[in-house]
Amino acid sequence: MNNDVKSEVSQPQAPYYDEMFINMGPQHPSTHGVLRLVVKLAGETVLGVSPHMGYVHRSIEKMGETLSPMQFIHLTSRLDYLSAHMNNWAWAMLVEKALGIKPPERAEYLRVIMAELTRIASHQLWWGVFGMDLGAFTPFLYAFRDREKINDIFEKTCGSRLTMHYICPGGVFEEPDAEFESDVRSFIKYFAPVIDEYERLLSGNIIIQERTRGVGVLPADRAKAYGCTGPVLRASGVDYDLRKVQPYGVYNRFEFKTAVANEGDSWARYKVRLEEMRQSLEIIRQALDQMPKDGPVREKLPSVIKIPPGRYFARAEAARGEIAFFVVGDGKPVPWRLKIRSPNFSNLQAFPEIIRGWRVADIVTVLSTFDIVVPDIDR
Amino acid sequence: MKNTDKPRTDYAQASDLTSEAKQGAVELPKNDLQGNSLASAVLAILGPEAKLEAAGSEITFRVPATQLHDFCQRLKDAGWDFLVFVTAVDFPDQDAFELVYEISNYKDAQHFCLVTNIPRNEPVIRTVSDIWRTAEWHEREVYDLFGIRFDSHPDLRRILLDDTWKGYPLRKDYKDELHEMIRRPGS
Repeated sequence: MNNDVKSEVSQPQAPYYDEMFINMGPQHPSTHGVLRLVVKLAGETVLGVSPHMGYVHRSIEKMGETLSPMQFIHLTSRLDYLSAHMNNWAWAMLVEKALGIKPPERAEYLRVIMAELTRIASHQLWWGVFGMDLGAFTPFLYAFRDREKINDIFEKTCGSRLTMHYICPGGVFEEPDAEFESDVRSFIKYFAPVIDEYERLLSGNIIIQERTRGVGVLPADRAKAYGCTGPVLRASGVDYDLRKVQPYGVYNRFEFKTAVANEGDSWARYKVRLEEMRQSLEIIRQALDQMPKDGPVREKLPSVIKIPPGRYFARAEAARGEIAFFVVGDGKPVPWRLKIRSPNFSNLQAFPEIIRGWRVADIVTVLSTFDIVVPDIDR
Repeated sequence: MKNTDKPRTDYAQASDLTSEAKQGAVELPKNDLQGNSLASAVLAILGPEAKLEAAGSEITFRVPATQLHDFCQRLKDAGWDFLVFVTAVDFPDQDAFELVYEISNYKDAQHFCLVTNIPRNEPVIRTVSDIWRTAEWHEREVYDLFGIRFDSHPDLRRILLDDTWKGYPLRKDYKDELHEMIRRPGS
């Protein structure tokens, strides 16, 4: 044996701070979809993260140039599939702006109820998966037990459990089923105490506390610079919720609070989402009380919708932040150009900066509290 | 690309708009941009080089490409701290790419867009990622899908498509032999 090699073996080599690159994903349980993170490590310490996207890029923007506004609703459900109703709503608002029509009163309330139910279902799923990311399996079962009840309401009303395309330009597709109101009311009654159960189950847990408090702090000015929206932004102390600052639909008729936390760490993002579920229940309760008991739910639209020449922009507060659509029309039945601004795309951009210096396990925590949905990033 | 119906880009004239509206069955929304307080507030920041365009529901200012960075800096300093997105629109008949910067703020969420044209054969413009950090990825996406290059961009790589991808899919003359169905009717 060569002497040099021998001496190398006898000495403790490979100091742990040697840099190395590893791939997290594209198939990794904690990336919640096909997202690839190239992580630069020194031992356990993260020196940098470079996200690689596009594994589920379906060129939805290009397809939008070939589809009529009514057809395109079905693709909006497939962006952030956990906020399908809100995506439909944002698109419907854009078409309504372009055509200058107003949806009927009853439809406006149905939209609010559906959107808030979706927000709850989305945060429930996040809560369950967050627990699982950090090694607790039970929350996942609790969350899916309760999410099932919302999905059942959706299934009864629009025939679909995930990609609803229920909210459409002009209102909503059709009158909900006869038991809709009583179903939603019994869900509210059931779920309000369950949030406290969630808190008792997970929030006080010492491992959860240790792994989230102070981990991955996103300061308010950085969040703004990166164009973050939704719970990620509000957990950094920026009181910005489209439902409050520029109410669309009938959101200005309800009394609710914006969930805001000042710390900007993973724990703050956790708190904000739990509080948002409570506020959503409040909104649904008020919406059910105020909703007209009957009346049309859909405004009549021209059979061929032509987006008039010009630029149109509409946005809505989805479960993960601000979903926005931008259309350049040229008077044809299909848009000349369609741009989708997805909340996760901008939110994820802040991730590499705040994860620097933390450990590998914290990537999982912080990514989980960012609550990304990859098809929304890739579009 | 042979397109007999020219895409309309000269949005400035309101008279054109009404004639266009008569052809279609739909009624145009009322557009009262001239008396709009947001439009006059933004014009006060931008100065006379920015031209207000009155078509569609979105308040739009057309600015010269050479001054875009300067204008963006002024807007950021005036409190417009939220860049919603950066994108581009292809107008092959005009031989131009139109860059669109959707600008908003975190206070009252008012919004408007800045647009500027750059030539199609030499598509380069200065980055605004030093003003709004979020532009970094949005500009990478525009580079990826339109082939527009951004001067002084810190990290200009493809973001959604593979590094070996040929062509820029969101250009109107992009041909994809594999997926013939993705084609605009009449083009």
